Amino acid sequence: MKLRRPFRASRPRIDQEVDGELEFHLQMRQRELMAQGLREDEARRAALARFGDLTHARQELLRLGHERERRRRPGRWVSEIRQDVVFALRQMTAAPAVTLVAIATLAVGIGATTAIFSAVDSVVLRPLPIPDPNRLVVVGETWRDSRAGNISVGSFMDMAEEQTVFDAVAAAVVESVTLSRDSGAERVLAGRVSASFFDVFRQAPARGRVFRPAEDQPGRNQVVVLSHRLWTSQLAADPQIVGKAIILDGRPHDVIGVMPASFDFTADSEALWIPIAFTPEQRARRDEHYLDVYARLRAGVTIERASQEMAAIGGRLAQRFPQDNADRTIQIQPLLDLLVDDYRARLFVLLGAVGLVLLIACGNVSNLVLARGAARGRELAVRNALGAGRGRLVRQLFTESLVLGVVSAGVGVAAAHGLLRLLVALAPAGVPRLEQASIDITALGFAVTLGMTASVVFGLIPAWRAARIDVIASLRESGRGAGEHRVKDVVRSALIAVEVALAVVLLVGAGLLIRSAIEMRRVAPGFNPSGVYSARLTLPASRTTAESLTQTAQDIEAAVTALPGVRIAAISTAVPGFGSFFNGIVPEGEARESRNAREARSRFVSPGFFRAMELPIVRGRSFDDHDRAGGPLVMIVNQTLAERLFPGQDPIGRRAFCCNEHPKTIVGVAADVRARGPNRPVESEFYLPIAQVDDVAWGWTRRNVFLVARTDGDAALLRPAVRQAVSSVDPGIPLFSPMTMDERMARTVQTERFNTMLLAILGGVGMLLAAVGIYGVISYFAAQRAPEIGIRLALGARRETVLKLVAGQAAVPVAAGLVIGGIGAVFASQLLATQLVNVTPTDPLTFAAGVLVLAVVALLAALIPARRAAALDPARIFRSR
Amino acid sequence: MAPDQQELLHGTLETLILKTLATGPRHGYAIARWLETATGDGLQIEDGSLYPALYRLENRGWIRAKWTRSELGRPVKSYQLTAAGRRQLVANVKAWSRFSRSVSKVLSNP
Repeated sequence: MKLRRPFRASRPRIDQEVDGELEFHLQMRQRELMAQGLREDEARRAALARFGDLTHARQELLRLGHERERRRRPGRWVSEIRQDVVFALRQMTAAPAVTLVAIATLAVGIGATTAIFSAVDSVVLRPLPIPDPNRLVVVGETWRDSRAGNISVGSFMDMAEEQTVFDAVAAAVVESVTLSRDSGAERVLAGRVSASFFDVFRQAPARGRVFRPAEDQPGRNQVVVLSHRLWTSQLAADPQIVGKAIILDGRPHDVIGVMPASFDFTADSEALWIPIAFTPEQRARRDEHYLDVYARLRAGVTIERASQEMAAIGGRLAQRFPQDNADRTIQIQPLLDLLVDDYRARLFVLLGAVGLVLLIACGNVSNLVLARGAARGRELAVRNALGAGRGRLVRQLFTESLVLGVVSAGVGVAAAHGLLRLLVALAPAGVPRLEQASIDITALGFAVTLGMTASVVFGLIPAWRAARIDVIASLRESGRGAGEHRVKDVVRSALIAVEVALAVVLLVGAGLLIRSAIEMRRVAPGFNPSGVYSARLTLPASRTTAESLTQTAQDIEAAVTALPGVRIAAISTAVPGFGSFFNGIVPEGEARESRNAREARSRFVSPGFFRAMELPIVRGRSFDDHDRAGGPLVMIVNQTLAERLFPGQDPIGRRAFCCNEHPKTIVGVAADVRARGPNRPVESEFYLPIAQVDDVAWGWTRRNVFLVARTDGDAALLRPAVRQAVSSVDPGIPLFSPMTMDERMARTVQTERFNTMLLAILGGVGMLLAAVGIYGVISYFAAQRAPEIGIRLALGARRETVLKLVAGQAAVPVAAGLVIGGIGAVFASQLLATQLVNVTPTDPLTFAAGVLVLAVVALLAALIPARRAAALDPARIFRSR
Repeated sequence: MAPDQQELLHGTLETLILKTLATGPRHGYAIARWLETATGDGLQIEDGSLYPALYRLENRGWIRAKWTRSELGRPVKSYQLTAAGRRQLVANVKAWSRFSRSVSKVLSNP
């Protein structure tokens, strides 16, 4: 260590080093000559003579030594990088058109990808804003092979009692309640929840307290916890709110607490919570499955263990209560999975699609940089000859790519901000947490990573080319060395092929969704939604009996039917796409046990419902005014249910059990309705006359019904008149969610439409970028071959020949791209399989169309520069050279 | 020396230095001596042009200089080949033999 130090310290003193080295050399030479017999002074002179110009050599060595020290200094990297960056910026501004195109192309790719990523992050990736969200599960009863569904109160109580795997279990039912204030009544979503609900989510109130177990009892549950959203939006964030009362469904409830803002999971989650307070009768019921059950896994308990215990409890319940629980079991599912299940696949497909667009963009920029690299071949060669190492040149080119990538990422983030707002605005309602999406740190990091990665991807090929640059050839041939030319052409052609292939995948994907959308339009909904007005309303809480509720419903129906322009109005507990409950139906003759039950959706309707909806009765009769309370019990089933109850037989006149112990006679068969959208299978459904609905069944509806009215004109214009007509019956009846049936049906497919629109846009952008890429490369080829073209033209070649020659250069890579893309699309389209209706993922028509469209676009993109080349004046070409 | 010859020698000298160091580290004077004996003094390289060549090679990262002590205990700067230098040497030798083959083909034909 001590030995070395002096040397190190002396290092910067280059003059000493040079002099020392030279002196050593001269002395050694002198000694050698003296050994040959020369005198000391003669030997010195001879050594000096042998050396040549010492002064000049010394100066040269000092210069080289200083240069070396400059490189070795630790700051050298920084200063060189700064040099590179400054140089890169100068290069970019020197060719503004190329730079702008490159930045715009990349920014589109980065922006779109970042926007979609933010959406995916917000909806799927980001954890719920609650402690240990991964330990939260949803508990559901399943019936045979169906998906986990809601639990009956009886099963819930038993499960909660017997379970040992959860820290906390809570039941919840979400319904709308009327919040009355001086300024008027309003419908808000309320969660009726167990006292332990907030324990499950481990959420403490921001103000006041949450429910005590004692408040989860009938008669003591006139208390309410508000959401932060309701507190701020409706109650002016009143700091004294705790202790005050608000009127819910006509009854005062004491506000005991306010939840923090972080508990507002989505814009349409519950606005307030009330204790669910089961009555002893409710606790005993096992045939109504309507509870959502949430639970928090105890520490150390795995999902598997909890699943096993739930299955065991479900099995015991099935033995104890075979009539209701046979064939049922209890399952659990992580809450986050349930929340985002539907959207996860779709969003990842979108993310994949924008990724492809980004890759195409990278291909284009790579081509641009390559073209510029060719133009700069001479510059690079000169710099190499002047002593810039190859590593240095490659680094320089890489820095340029990186600067381009970073600038593009900046522009892209700005674009992503706008795109994301557009996305959120256009997205269908109810996508969980989407409205919380923003360009945050995660998204910024993503964009910057993307920019860096993209710049590496598109910078790699040109930099690799530069590293292999042949100095002499470049200098001699001004960067148009024949061999290099050919290699680069191959690279360019490969880029075109890849771009075309990616665009084919995008186009086929978009095409499949578009075809599916067209197919969906062709699917008849089973009724005529045009010209039908619909709205929800809640019958007043003062009507406590089935009779009075039916009477009020009939009064409203009569008042609306009397309106001018209304042909017929009807009341129903459900309309296609909304409402309805699941009930088990058992045909008479089979034991009334759950293993014989067919699950079907129930709707309680007034007689005019089928005419108002133009829903055909295909056999038997519709309901009429004779189907009243106390009369013979009747029902209408849809075709699907008829076939399941009495396969191959005439169901008219047969009887079946549902909802209670009284069998009902089937008087009619209604046409199947695509109630949940054209892409969902038809479900079993049955209709009961609203007049024959008993108190229990009215309880399920919570007095919420739909009003439907068929009009001669525009259904949307009916809104004010209907409001007035309903008020004339009872001014306290709130009317909400007014919509035409067309609008309601559109909602069932809005997610699909949104997806289709996005993928179509991405497909279009991808195709356009690929076309730009082809155009650019063919233009470049044409420019490279301009002298040859000139000679051919001068020798009398026809313009068509030149056209073919130039455009033909795109033929092979485009054809290769089309084939590769077609094969890739076969695999990629499998991801869309679940979203397609009546279209197979390998639909030949769509594939052919996608490939054809791209082939035509590619041809056009190649023809434009080819025509320009063919129109060249040979004399001009030669003069310019 | 004519400028052409100088340029020719410029690259050749560097290759020769790399070749000299292929067998192990040497100081400047030893390199000069080795070149004299190995070429039978046929090239008559000026000592003054040897050192700038060494410095340039060092700056390019093909050789590395280290201060050691000579047999007589004097600090002396000795040079050794780096990995990059070894690759360069191989490339240069190839290029040279290609060049000399072509030249001798031309010259030996009557």
